[in-house]
Amino acid sequence: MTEKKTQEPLIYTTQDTLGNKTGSWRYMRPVFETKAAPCAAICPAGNPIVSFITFAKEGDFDSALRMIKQENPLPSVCGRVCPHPCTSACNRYTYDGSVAINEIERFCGDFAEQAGPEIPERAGATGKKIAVVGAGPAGLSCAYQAALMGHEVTILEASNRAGGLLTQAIPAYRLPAGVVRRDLCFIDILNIILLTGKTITASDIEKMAADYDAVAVACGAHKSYRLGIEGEELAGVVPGLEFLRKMSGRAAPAPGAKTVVIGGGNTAMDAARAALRLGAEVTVLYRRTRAEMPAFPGEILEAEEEGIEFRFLSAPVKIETSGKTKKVICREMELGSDDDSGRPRPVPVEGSEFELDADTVITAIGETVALDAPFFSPNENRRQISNAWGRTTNDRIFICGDAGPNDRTVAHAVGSGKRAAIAIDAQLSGKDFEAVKQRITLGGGAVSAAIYRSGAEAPAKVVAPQAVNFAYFMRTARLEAATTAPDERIKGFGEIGATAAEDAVRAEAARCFTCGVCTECGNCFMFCPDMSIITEPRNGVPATDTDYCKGCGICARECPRGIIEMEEENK
Amino acid sequence: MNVTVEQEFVCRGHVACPGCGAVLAMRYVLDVLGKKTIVVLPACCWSVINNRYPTAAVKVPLFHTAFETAACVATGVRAALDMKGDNDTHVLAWAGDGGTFDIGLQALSGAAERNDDIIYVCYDNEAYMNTGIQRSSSTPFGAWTTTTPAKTFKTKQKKNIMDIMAAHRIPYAATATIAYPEDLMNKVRYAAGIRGTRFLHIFCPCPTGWKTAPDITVELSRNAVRARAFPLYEVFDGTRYRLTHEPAQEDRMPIAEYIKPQRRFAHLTEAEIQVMQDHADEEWGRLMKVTETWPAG
Ligand SMILES: Cc1cc2nc3c(=O)[nH]c(=O)nc-3n(C[C@H](O)[C@H](O)[C@H](O)COP(=O)(O)OP(=O)(O)OC[C@H]3O[C@@H](n4cnc5c(N)ncnc54)[C@H](O)[C@@H]3O)c2cc1C
Ligand SMILES: Cc1ncc(C[n+]2csc(CCOP(=O)(O)OP(=O)(O)O)c2C)c(N)n1
Ligand code: SF4
Ligand code: SF4
Ligand SMILES: [Mg+2]
Repeated sequence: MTEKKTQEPLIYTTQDTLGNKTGSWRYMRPVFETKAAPCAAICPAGNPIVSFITFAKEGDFDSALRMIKQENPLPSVCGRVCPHPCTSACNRYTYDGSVAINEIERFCGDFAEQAGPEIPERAGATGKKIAVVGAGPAGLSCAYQAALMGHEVTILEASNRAGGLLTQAIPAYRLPAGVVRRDLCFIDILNIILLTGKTITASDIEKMAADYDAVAVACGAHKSYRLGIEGEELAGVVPGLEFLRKMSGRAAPAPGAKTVVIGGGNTAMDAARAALRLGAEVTVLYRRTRAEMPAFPGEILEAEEEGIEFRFLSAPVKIETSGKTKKVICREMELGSDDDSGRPRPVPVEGSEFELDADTVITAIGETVALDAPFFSPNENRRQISNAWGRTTNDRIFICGDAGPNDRTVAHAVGSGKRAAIAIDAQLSGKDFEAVKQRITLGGGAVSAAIYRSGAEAPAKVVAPQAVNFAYFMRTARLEAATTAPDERIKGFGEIGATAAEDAVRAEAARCFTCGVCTECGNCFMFCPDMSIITEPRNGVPATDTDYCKGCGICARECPRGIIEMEEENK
Repeated sequence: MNVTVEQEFVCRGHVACPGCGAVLAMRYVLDVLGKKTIVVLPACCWSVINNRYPTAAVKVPLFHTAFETAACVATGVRAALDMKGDNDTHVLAWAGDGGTFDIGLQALSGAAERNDDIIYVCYDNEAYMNTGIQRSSSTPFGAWTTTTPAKTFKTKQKKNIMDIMAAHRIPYAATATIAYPEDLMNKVRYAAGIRGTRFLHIFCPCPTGWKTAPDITVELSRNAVRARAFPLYEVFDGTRYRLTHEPAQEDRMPIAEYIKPQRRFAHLTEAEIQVMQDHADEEWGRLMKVTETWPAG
């Protein structure tokens, strides 16, 4: 071995610049935070939209379905009939069309045929007993969540089956019975006791409050408003809900050749479209204009396409018999100043009477809650009850769905049932209700049962479109839902349209920006001129090296999905 | 993002202004070239960014040299390495627009004419920033600088350095910018794989000199491409052209929108902005014509 001679180095090496803590230059600081996507914050059922779409994107529909079922037992139903406010809130909306969230949800729901129901695991038994009155979507959702929390649940239902308006009112051309059945499989799986043929009164409820640890009232709004005009009691004049209920019970009423439907809501639309399918010639009478109709826009459009005639600005005055048939005496209206509901008040036009011949008249001007109980007066404490997640003046009685002060859609019913279950559980386990509410509400909107169960914290902020960096998303065509031609669909009660194909659903899911949830895209890391991004996620998001970050804000700008925000540095 | 920086050759604690685009350019280029690289650095912002001796932010050997000498010093370093039998270390001349378009042009032209085996990067922040924002021949028409104040803003168009380099028929010349790291790194990778004089013109927005918020550096870089103020393309052997990124129809933006957040252009009238627009359209049209007439294989 030869000995190495120590040599003078040719170059003196320098030190690095780590001693230079450039973080002290900073007056703005990037804050990384998981946020709620606007779609998820607005979903009345509280669907975990970003997480199920992320799985759908990868083609992992089992997991996608499992995510949904944490929050909503009825994805096949909601994917079909929900008016999808999520899509209007979608950050992609003004860019190149919202993500067709409902179509993806529908596919995931139907995927239960292959994956199985994917019901989450039930918590250990708590020994608490909960009664639910009414097996509509609200009662079912409440029962579902309460059962998952380990409570023993009994549902008491007046009719002979579960489903509420899903099976009693929404016609098969929009919601086939098999679809509802698929979503309702959880009743057996979670050992929920369903007692049918039990009509419960207000005093029964108060008695039950003594026998059960809590009672959730979810009896819907089934009392049809009366027109209050002469001739309303004549044979052949039927309330819309009754008409639809009979039809769904397979004792289809035969509407006369000429049917007049009075009203402009969903009940009016479905009654009209069902009567049309049963062979009637249908005219809808509505006292305001198309713009004020409370029915879902899609339903109105489909009714028009199917050839239903609309007489706007027309109201009935009287119904008379005329030989074997009837006559509806009507009056034209004009729009006056706004009423309490914020819609213009229809005002009769003098001397504008006209007549319509009718064999059947279907009245569908709205439904109200049949229940009249001391613990709940539907008009007085509406807002309080809604803010209190269904808690009433009786601390063992809760109310949800259409029976309570909630918007009347299936998704709202599911969401309010979930809130009631959580309010019940929080009460039974002695949790601070206000703290729970705060913790599990996403961006002030939707509520997550999964977050309630896990003890985590729901994201408080919602990603606004201005926080999205659209440069990172190519414009792509939106999935167009399949439909059936009007002349084809009016031939019967077969379902309109179809669930999208898997490829199309995956492609649509890939359009999702994943707003508010870090996908580890690496933009912040890549574009930081100070190499100050710590990419190892902590709580699901990266962080900054505050020793060197100069607070330039490039990371916040270049984050595609609104996770980073600049805040003023504490002095 | 389809690419990442695997190895950091720029150290935190460097003293670039917050939001400096030139740092990102160095970071991406060195990641591709790797540790067997010697940087030759004339006077420019980067000689400050690197921090004072005995510290250095760049973690490969770096040679500070005079303002006008980037290319010839790089040639000399190359010759020394070759004499040592080391022909796989990259020699990277890294100069600003002033050091390239103006004072260093003759040295660069000499090296290019000899086809010396160096990679020359001009990081272009469109003025002499280091000395306090003086006009260079790369400063665009209309811009305010301290030597072209708003009242007598610069009335000459930006010099087309790519045409000059193409005229030398060097094996490779390309434009790149920091908002498109994948494109940038691909170009560096290609350059690293061949021999001879390779020239990269890297557009680097400068918040301080452009009077812009530091957070929009990358956005400005992207918008320059979208507005066709800075097209991304490459030229092989000085004769064959290829566009590497064409902004989608919906992503195109007028020059007016690109310059809007840059307060160095705040004084311009609509008519003056139109002059900029016409110039950009004309240059783009010419580029389209050459890419069609002499496409790269
Ligand atoms: C015709 C029609 C079409 C609609 N279309 C849509 C749509 O497309 N999309 C949408 O989102 N929403 C739609 N809705 C609204 C939606 O169906 C309701 O908001 C939702 O069903 C409310 O759920 P719920 O559980 O509160 O009540 P319900 O669904 O009404 O269920 C209440 C249940 O309680 C039972 N019950 C009632 N009284 C008692 C009692 N005293 N004792 C025991 N049980 C009792 C009832 O039999 C019923 O099963 C529609 C409504 C109607 C009427
Ligand atoms: C011969 C000579 N003239 C002038 C200077 C002063 N000087 C140093 S850097 C510089 C401007 C550099 O501008 P540019 O090359 O565009 O680089 P930037 O600072 O903008 O990054 C000037 C004028 C010098 N160092 N040497
Ligand atoms: S892009 Fe995705 S996450 Fe964002 S709002 Fe739309 S559906 Fe929701
Ligand atoms: S990009 Fe880097 S330096 Fe700029 S704010 Fe973000 S972490 Fe700080
Ligand atoms: Mg410069």
